[in-house]
Amino acid sequence: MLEEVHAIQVLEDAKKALKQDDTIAMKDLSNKTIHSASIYQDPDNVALAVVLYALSKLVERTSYRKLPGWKKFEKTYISSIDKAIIALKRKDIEVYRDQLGQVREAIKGLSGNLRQYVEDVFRKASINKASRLYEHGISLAKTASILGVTVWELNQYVGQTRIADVNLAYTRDLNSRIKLAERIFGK
Amino acid sequence: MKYLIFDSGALINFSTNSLLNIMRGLQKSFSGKFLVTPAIKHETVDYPLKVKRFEWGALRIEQLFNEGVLVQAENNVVDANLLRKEAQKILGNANNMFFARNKPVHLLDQGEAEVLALSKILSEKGQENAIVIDERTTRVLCERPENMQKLLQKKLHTDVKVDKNMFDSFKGFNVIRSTELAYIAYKKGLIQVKDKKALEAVIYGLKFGGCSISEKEAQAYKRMK
Repeated sequence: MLEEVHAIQVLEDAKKALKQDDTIAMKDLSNKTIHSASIYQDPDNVALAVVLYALSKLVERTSYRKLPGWKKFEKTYISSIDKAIIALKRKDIEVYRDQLGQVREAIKGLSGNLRQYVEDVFRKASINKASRLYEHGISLAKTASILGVTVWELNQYVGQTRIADVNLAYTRDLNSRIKLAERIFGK
Repeated sequence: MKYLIFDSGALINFSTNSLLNIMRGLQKSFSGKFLVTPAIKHETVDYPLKVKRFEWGALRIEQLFNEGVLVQAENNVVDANLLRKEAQKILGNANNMFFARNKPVHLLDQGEAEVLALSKILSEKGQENAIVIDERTTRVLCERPENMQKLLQKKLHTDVKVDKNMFDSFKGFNVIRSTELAYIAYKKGLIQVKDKKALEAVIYGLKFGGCSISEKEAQAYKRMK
């Protein structure tokens, strides 16, 4: 369930952040969206979180701007954000979805290295957002299914984070867990 | 007869850390079966076999099925319909336990629900079993569900209501992780690298491969040699 007022504000802020190359603000906006995505687990919030994060990563890599096709891609995503805001103001969720989809569709119009880079950034953005959902308490397999990533890639990604070190994840004394394992393997 | 029930994360972790061989050794020394449910087989073998990047890892897990180290639970030790039905019940309970902004927060997926369902069915028959699960959510739900409420509240920045009546359906599960299995394997001499750092290296390999074990616990393993 997309909360239109919240999404409009996020997109307006994203526009400003993109103009100022403020990638930290873009990532914050993506993270804000992930709270809603954790609760509603709907494609609209998830897609918004992924697109914002991916754009933050793309803008961060200023060398991409010199590559052929970048200008057109940039125009597409700026225009899509504008149209998505208008659609949300009209409560036209279908057009909003279509516009967000256009950002990813625009990748197909790219060629050579840039296409590969951008595809890679979007893929990694999905995995990053999946790890955030997992961090929020949603199970690994559920998260993988929501984001359309595999448990294989997500497993490795979350292993590199500090998610396991959160105090609330501590549920049983290590010695007693080892004793349990030894008991199971006993005669 | 005892049973060890595997979630996908633990199997994947063993595969990516080239530790599947210890599964063979552990199975030989185990008076029971290593079980896998349909959704877990799908996540660890059937689907990744279609993805080039994970095909090799999936083939290695499939080999364990071919050798009889891993056994499919359905229609082998449990009726497939009963497992499906019980998994649906667990999924319904887990996904209607916590509420944020008046919406139930869906926590678990089919695979995790099947693992719990199988364990529950076997326990009800009086058959000793444990589940091997590396991911955090299912473990917290089974061992400290009140922590899950706190975690959700903290992360979602909103009030989270809980139906505590559901807690009972997640009690009584025996949960271990890939790291505990690796420790047992080490004690049994099944880890072939004979170096004093081997145990520590394996534990950290599994931690970085996705096992939900804290730094403090990993450090504690170092002192257990």
